[in-house]
Amino acid sequence: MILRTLAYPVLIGMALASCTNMFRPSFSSVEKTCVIDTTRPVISPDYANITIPSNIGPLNFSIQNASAETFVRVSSASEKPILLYTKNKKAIFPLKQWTSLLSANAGKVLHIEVFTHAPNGAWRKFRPLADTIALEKTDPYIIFRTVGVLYNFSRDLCIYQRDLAKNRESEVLNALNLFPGCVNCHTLQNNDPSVAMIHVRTQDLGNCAIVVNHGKLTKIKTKLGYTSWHPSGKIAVCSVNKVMQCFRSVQSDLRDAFDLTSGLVVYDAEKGTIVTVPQIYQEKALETWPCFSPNGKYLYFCSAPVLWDDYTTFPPKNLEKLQYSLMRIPYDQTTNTWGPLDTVLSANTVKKSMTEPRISPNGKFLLFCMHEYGPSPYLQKSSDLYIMNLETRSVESLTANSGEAESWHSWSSNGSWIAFSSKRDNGIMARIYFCKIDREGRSSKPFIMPQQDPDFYGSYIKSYNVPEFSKSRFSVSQNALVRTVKSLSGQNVAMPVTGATPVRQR
Amino acid sequence: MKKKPDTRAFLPGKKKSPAEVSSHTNVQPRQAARTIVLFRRCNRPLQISLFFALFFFFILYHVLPGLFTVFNGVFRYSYIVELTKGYAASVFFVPGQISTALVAWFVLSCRVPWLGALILTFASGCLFTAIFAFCKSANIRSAFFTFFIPCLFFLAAIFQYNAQYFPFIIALIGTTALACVYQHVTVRNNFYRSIVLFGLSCVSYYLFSTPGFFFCALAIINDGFSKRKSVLYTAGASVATVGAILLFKTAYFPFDRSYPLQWLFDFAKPIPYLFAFIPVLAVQNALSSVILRPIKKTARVASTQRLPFAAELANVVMATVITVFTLSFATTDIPTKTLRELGKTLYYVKYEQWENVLSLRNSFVFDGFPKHHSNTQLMISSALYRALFHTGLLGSDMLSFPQVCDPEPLILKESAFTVYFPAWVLGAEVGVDLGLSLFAEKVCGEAMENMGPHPSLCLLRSQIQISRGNETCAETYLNKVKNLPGYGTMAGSLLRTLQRRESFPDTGTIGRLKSSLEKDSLVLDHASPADLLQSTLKSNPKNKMAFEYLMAYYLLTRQLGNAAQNLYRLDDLGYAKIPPLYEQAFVIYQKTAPDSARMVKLPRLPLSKTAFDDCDRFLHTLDAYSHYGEPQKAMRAEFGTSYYYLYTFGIIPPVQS
Repeated sequence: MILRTLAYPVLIGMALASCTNMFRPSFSSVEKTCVIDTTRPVISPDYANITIPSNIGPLNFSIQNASAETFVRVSSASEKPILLYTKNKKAIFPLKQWTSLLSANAGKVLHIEVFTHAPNGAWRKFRPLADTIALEKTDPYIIFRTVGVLYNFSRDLCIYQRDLAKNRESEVLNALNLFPGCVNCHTLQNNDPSVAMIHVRTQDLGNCAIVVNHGKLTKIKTKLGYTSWHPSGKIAVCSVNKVMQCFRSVQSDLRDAFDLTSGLVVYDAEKGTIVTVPQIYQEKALETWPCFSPNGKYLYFCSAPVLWDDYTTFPPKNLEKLQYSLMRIPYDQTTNTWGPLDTVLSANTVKKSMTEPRISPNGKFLLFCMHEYGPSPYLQKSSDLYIMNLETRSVESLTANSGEAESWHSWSSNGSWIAFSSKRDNGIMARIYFCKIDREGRSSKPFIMPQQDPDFYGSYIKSYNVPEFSKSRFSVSQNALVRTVKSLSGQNVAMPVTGATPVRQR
Repeated sequence: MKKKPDTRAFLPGKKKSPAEVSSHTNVQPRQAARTIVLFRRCNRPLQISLFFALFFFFILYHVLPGLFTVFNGVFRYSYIVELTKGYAASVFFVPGQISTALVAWFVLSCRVPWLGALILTFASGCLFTAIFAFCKSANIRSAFFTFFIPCLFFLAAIFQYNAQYFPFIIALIGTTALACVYQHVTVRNNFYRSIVLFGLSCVSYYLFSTPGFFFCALAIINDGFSKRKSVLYTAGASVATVGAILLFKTAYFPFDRSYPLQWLFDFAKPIPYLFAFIPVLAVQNALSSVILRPIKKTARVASTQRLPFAAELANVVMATVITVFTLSFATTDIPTKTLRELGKTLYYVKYEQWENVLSLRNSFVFDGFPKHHSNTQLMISSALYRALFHTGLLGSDMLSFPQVCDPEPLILKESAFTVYFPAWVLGAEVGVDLGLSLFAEKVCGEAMENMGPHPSLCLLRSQIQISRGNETCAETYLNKVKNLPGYGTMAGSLLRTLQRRESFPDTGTIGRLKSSLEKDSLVLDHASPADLLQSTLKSNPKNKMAFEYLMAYYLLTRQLGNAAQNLYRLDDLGYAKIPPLYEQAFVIYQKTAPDSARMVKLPRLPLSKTAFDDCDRFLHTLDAYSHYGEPQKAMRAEFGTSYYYLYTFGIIPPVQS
C-alpha cells in the first residue's frame, strides 16, 4: 500500500519529465536545418580562443547574443561530444563528461558550437569557437584569499582552497572565526601545502604567523609580512613592513599603500628563531617581496632607497618617486651564509617600480610586476606583469596584461601555467586569471577562474588575491588553525638587533 | 448543583445599567475579589483582545516599527532577504537559518509600519498561546495574568531595536510549541519517549540552532510536573541528545556563526537585566500555584474569599508592576530613548522628511549639551544641517539648535571613521548629497567592511561608480542587489538605464556626483572639509549645497576672511539676497579687519542695513550685560540664533524650558 502510494508521484514525475523532453527540438534536425551564421557567439566569461589545462573544471558560460532556446555542443577529436540544451542562455556542463572529454583530448582542439534561434525563428549556427587543450596539466588546487573592496578595516576575509577540476571550494581559514581578526598572505613551499605559513592579525590575541610543517602547527608570536620558503623548508625569509595607506581622489582605486619602513628577516624553522642579515635589512633601504630561486641559491627581492627623513609626515615626501629595483643575494645553505647584493634590474633603468618577483620552477623565468611607483602593484592601474629571461636578462611584457592592475601571480609546479589576479573586469574588484606560459616565456590569452554559475562574477563584489597553485589539498583543518591562533602558547621571537643592523625605533 | 455566576455584565459590548455601575463603585473587598475572579474566569478573550490591541497600538505609535529598517545593520548582523537559489540553500541547509530568515522578512515588512506592528503582535500572541498551552498540559498552575508577562519581556526586547534578539524569541515560541507536541505524543514506554525526544530535539536544532536546546529543558520541566517517575530518564535522554547533536554540529558545522552569544553576557547593555524578571516570575508562580488550588478544588468562592482576594490582588499587583516597569523602561530609559531618537533621525533622513528632522532641534538629547557631547548629538546635528539646507534655511537658521564652534557634524569626516553604522550611513549620504564621491566611497567601503554588504550601501556605491565612469563595477553592485526585495526596483531601474546606455538626469544623485567629480589630487586623510568642498566647488561652481556647507564650515571655525572671500559665489547660485548669517559674519569681519574686508570681492547683492544695526545692538547689549555678569545667558533669548552670539561666546546652549 505504502509502495503504491509512493509509486504514483514518482510515475507522474517521470511522465511530466518525459513530456518536457517531448517539446524539446531534436538536435539532429536542428543541425540539418540550421543556417550557418558567420558571427561568433558572445560568451561570458570569455572562453574563446584560449589554452586550457586538461584538468580544469567545466568552463561554464552564458551566451549573450543567443535567444532563450539554445543548443551547445562541445567536442574534440575523440570521446563523445557534450550536447547541452538550455533555455536560460547558460551552458553548464556535466562534470563527469567534461572531465573525460578533456582528459582524452590533451594537446588537441576543443570546439564549442552554439545553435540558437535567428530573429526569424529559424535555427542558426554561430561560427564555432576553438580552444586548445594543453598537454601540460596545472596543479589540482589553488589557494587564494577573498577580501572586500576594503579600506581601513579588514574583517570579512577568508582563505579558500579550490579543487580546479571540480570547481569546488572550501574554507582554509575564515577571519570571522578569529573575530575580530584578519588573515593575511599565505605562502607555500614549492606549491606544497604541507609546508606553509599564514599570517594572522587579531585584536585580542595580537599578531602571529602560523607555520604548518607536515601537519604540525607552530604559532610565532610576531608580525611578519610577505614570505618565501627556501626549497629545503628549513628557513623562510619574511618581510617586516610598517604598512601605511592613504586615500587619493583622482585615480581608479582610491587607496594607496606604502611601507614607511621595511626589511627582510630570516626565520629558522628548525630553531624557531628570527635573525636579520645586514645586506637585506638596511637603514636607508626598503626591502620587501622576497622570493627564493628554485635551487635555493639566490634570494630575489625588491628594494628602494628611503626617500624621506621625516617619518611623521603623512604621506611621506617623494612617495610618488619611490621606485623599487629588483635585487638578489646569493645564499649558501650548507654554510648558512649570504653573499653580496646584486642588482637584477634597476628602477633607474626602467623608471618604474618593480615588485612581486616570482621565479618559474625551472629557474628560467622571473615574473614580476612593473608599475609607476611604490610597493603595492595591486592598487595601481599601471601595474602589468613582465617576464625576464634569467639567462639573457631580457624583459618582456606579458601579452596577458590589460589596462587595469595585474598582480599576485604564482607559477604552477610544472612551470607551464600562471595564476594572477587582475582587475580587468571593472577596475576595482580583482579576479583570478590563468594563462599558459610557453618555453619562450610567451603567455596565452588568459581566462578567468571558472565557476559553476557563469554569471557568478557579475554580482560578486569581493576581490580575489594571493592565488597560489597547490599540489594537494591543505591538510590542516580550519579547526586546528583557529585553535592554534587562539592558543596562548607559541614561540616568542623578538626581532633581533645585531651589531650590523641599525636600530629602527620610529 | 453549582450555580454559575452571572457573567453577562462583563461581556464585551454589554452595557451596564447605572445601578450596576454604582454597585461596582461601592464594591466591598468580598465583591472585589469576586469581580476579579469572575473577570479572570469569564472574560479571558476580552483580556487577551485588550492586551494585544494595546500591544499593537503601543508598538505602532510608540515603538515605531519603521525604525527596525534603519537600524538593520547597526549591530553588524544585518537581516537581508534574497530571492536567489543560493540564499534559499543557505536558509534550508544550515541549522537555525530559518529563524534568521523569518527575522529578515520581518525587518523587510517593517517598511510598512502597521505590518511590522502586526507581525510583532502576532509573534507575541504565539508566545502567549504556546506558553499557556504548555503550562496547562504540564499541570503548571499559574494565574492567567502571568502568561502575559513573557509578552512584556518580548516588548522590552523590541525596544532595543536589535533584531539579533528575535531569533531567540522565535526559538522560544517554536521550542514551546514543540514541547506541546511532545506533551501530546502518546508513547508506550521510556524508550519510545526518548526516541520522540531525540526526533523533536533534532527538529528543534534544525529550526533554531543552539537555542533549540530549550526544547529539552521544557521536556524535563513537563515530565517533572506530569510524569515525575520518569523525569530522571528524560533528563538523561536530553543530555545524551544534546551531546549527540553537538558532536554532529562540531563535525559538520564547526563554525556556526549564526548566534554569537557574547551579547547575552554583556551587562553593559540593558537587555540582560530583563532576566531579573525571571525570579520575580518564579515567586509569582509559586504564590499563585499555592493559592489558586483551593479555589478550583472547593469551587466555593465565598468560603475562600480571603485567599482568592489576596491571590488575585497579588497577581494584579505583580502584573501591573511588571507592565508599568516595562513601559516606563521603554519610555524613560535614556539609552533606549536616545536610540529611538537616533532611529527617528535616520528614518526621517532616509525618507527625506526634512521638516520632521527640523523638529529634532529641540530633542532631549541636547539637554546635557555641551557637557555631554555625544555621538548622537553629533549625528542629529549633521541631519539638522542637511535638513536646513534642503529647506533653504542653512544660511539663515543654522544656529537655531545647540552647538559649539565645531564643524565635525557638517560632514562627519572623522566620526564616519570612528563611530558606528548610523554615522557611516549619514556620512556617506552627506557625501553623496554634496557630490563628494571620494569621501562617500571611502565611508561606504568602511561601513561595508564592518557591517557586511548592506544593500543600501551597495546602491550608493553603484551610483558613485556610475558617476566616476566605472559602469561595469556599478553593474556588479547592482546585480548583487537586484534580487533583494525592497531594493530590487531601484537596482533594476539603474541597471536598465545602464544597459540601454541612456544618460542619467543631471538633477539626480548620479548627475550631481558626476558634475562635482574631484579634479584636484587630494589626499583625503589630510584634506580638511574645506579642502574637499573647495575642490568640489572648483569642479562645479553651481553646487549650492557645497557652497553653503563651505560657508557653514568657515563660520563654525570662525574663518571670517575665508567666508568673506567666498561671498562672490552668491551671484552664480541664484540667491535673491545675502543670507543673514553671511551678512553678520561679514559685518564682524569688517569691524575686526577693515583693511582686509575692503579687498574682498563682494557679490552684486547689497548688504542689508539690518545686519549692521543688529551688530551695534548686540555690542551695546553685551556692554550693558557685562556689568551685571552672565551676558551669555541673558542674551540667549534675543541673539541666540545670530552669528554674533556664536562668534562672541563660542557656544549656543539649548533653550532653557
